[in-house]
Amino acid sequence: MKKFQGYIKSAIYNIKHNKAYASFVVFGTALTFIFITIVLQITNEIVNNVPPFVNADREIYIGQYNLFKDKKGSNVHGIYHKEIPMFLKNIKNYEFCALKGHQLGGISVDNRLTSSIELKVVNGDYWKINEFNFIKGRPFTEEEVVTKTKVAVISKHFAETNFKTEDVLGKELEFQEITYTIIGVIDGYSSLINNYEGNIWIPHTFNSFIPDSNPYYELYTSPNKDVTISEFKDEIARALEFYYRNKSIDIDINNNDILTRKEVRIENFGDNKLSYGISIVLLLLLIIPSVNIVVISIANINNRAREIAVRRSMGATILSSFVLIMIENLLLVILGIIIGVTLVFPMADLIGSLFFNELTIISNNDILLPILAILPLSLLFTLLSGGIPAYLIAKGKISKILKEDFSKNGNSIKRFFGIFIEQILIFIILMLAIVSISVAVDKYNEPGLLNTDNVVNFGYSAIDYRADNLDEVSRNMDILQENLKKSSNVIALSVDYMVVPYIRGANDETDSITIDNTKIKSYVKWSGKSGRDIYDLELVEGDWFTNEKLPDGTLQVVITKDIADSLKWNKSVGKKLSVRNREYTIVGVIAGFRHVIFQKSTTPTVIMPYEINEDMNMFREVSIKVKDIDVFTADFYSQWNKLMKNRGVTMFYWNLNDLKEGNMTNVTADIILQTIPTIFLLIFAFIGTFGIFWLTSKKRVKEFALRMAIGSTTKGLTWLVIKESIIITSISMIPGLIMAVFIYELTMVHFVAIGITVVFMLLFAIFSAWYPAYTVSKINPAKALKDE
Amino acid sequence: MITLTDISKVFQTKDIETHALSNVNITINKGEFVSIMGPSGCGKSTLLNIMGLLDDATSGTIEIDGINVKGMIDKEMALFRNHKMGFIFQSFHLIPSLNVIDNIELPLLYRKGVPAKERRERAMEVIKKVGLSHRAKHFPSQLSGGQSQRVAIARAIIGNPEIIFADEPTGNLDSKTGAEIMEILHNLNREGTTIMMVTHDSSIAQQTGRIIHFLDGKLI
Repeated sequence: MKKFQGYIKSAIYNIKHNKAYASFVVFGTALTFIFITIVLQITNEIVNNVPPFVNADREIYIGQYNLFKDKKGSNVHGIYHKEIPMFLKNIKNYEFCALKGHQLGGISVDNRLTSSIELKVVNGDYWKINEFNFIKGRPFTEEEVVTKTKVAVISKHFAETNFKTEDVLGKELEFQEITYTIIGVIDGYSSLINNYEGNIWIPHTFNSFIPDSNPYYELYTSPNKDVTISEFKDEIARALEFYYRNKSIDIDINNNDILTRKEVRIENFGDNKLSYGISIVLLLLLIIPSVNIVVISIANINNRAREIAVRRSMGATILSSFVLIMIENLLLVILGIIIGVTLVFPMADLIGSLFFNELTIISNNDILLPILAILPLSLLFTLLSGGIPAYLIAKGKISKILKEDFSKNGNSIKRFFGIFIEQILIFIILMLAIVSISVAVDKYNEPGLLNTDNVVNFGYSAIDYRADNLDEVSRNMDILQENLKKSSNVIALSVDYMVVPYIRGANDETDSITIDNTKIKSYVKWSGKSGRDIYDLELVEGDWFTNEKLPDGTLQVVITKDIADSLKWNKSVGKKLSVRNREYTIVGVIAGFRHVIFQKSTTPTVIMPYEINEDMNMFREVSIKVKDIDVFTADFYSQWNKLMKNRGVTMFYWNLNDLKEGNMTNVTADIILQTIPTIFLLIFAFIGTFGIFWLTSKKRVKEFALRMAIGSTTKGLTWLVIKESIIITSISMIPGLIMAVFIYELTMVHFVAIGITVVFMLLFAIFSAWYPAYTVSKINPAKALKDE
Repeated sequence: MITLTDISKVFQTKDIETHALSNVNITINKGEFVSIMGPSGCGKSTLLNIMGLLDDATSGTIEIDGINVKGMIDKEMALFRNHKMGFIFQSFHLIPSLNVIDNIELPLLYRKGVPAKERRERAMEVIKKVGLSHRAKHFPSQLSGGQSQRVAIARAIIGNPEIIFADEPTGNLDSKTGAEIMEILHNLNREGTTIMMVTHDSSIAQQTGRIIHFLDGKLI
């Protein structure tokens, strides 16, 4: 016991007398465990049944689109919503079947439109198959769904954003002129890996299928308890085959084509990413900080080594000396882990708010598993980070250590070896991340991206397309538009059709246009004369169209450059094309038109004047560019209530930048998932390089003093330290650069990205050595040379 | 008590081979007070370290109490050092985190079966012997050089070692304090403890029973 007390005393004394070193270890460990906890928790949420998706491994997922391919190779859609009961009749062993769809539009609270643009329509089983944490109230039941009770469940985030409180039970929200009473509020959950489940849920029986005319739902069905998931998959496969056979669609599917929610998650995340990516990230998260601590420990070795040598001369064995050092390391690691685990949620929230909108990175559901995993990892971390220096010290020659002048070893190349290895890894990881970002930015900057800043799209859709009042509705909409135009807040307004980007996929159906007797698949869109100004469409030839017919009687159209390129036209203006048996003259060419932001090539598109589209009293789509969206939202809603409410139409209203963000989520999430560990590793590399230069500079005081005594200037000394850092960094970049030659095609984008990485690393080298270099320049040579 | 036969020690660096000791043969008898003298770098501290099992010889044999220490594992050597040897260093090498009494108790902590009470009693006994009872709770940073060396001596003798190895014990002290330390060592020798001491100071060496002269790693 006394011996152990002595160890503790010694460790605490050492910690107190080496505060900088202790801070490096504690801060580094805390940072490591914050990120390890996040990585483990995300992994946990992918591979386990973490609430709310407690049945992830027993829920069969049947999607909406591109479900399977038929025997001809065409994509097959999901189950038509009206046929779901019939489909389920052929599945004997299901216990629950959750269905989920979504609808877009204007959601209002307290007589104002909210920024949320989407809600989910679900059934009663949705709340049974998933276990959401209700912080207030309850879910709605199947009976409430069937009897069309106007109830809604909302997320805590929606409650806090729109009601400024979680106490919202009994309060109301309005969607498509139906007022729903809020009966439940659910807590946040990780939505980084899981499909975004939304903010608002209403019974699916209120789904008007307007404006989103998608007639399919996502289905999640789970088997009875005594049925295995494999048996259930067989049953689902048979039911699907039967369902499609009745529609004269031949599909050939088996057990392996049917996936559970968990399998879908793994597939979406990437099997390899899960198996290798996470392991590599975890390994790096453990090794790089460990290397840091090892090199910093070795730089800080002198006091400890002497004490150990004295103890060994008194009879301590190598093992007991090793334990003594490990206790100090363990104390620091435990302190770091406590800080890290305490800060993990605030840090995750911070990362979430910095990088994501409305997404929770990790939930506090089932945190126990990662915490349990952290214990063995912390032991491994302690052994990795403390074990090597402890072993080196404990095993050292007693006589040599007692004689050694540690100040002579400050410049040993060995001391920089760890940092060198670390920087090799950092350069490679940073290069991969910067190349990914650059490729994404390059795709983002491809021609055809619409400028959606301060652009809103609104409109209506008639619930009954044969209603008598549609002409009145259309006239009122004209008045509404005119009223809005009068506001100084409005920059440009255009009535469009099919123009709104990001709500349509790249695989949406296209029209067939004919040019020079050649048929080309192309999107056809209708826009107004202000359409170009609203979206900042880049004209590469000619002008934007007007509504007037040309002398030859044809109407004017604008095409995208890819159409001209595919026909090898140098000049497109004046050429003819026909759409749906009508001839048009090309008056302008735009650079492109993209529906999917990170799609490299643009989609062939023809845009023609809106006025020629004929069936327009059933719905209207208006794009508008404004100065202040909030002001406009309030104006619009007030006008809507006066002119359009209670007239049998549903409103849609969305801020296009919200749609854009949604469109970018997958790619940005991927980039962010790469960037976060990279930032962490950079911070750690900074700590390591900074720490090693600082500690070794302290030990080299005499050397620096001597250099000054023989004529070096303070500037010269500062540069000397920085130069050493730059040399280490420069050499450490070589393996990464060689690797780049083999793994990349080395286009201009790659060259630029790799160049940025190199510059970044050099700046990093300068900054991490800056303070140590500065302290060196402050040395008093007379004092330093006198001090023992 | 200690017999060194043909002891050689070679320090090998990348380019240079340094012969610190060449075929040294010495016998130290029980109860002797032997000083080793010679210029800097002649190998006297190396010899002391080899005899104290703090370093190993390149060749030759060492017998302590008739036991050949060659091939001993770390644990056996640690046991040997703990039971039979005490060390006094020129730079004292007290552990800064421990107070005087804890520093002195240290060798007994590594000895199995010594209860805390006995450790404390023995520590109080030896601290009295070196005249530092009033400094028992002080930390090394609060002591003078002479006081630090007394603590080091107390630490060296608490385990009743048969032999004390002292490497320049007065090297960092003024002459008056040095004399006091020598007095303590003489007393210990009179009580039967064998002492091997490395020194530069011939007047100090003259006070010991035998002087071994060293030059270039060889006895002269």
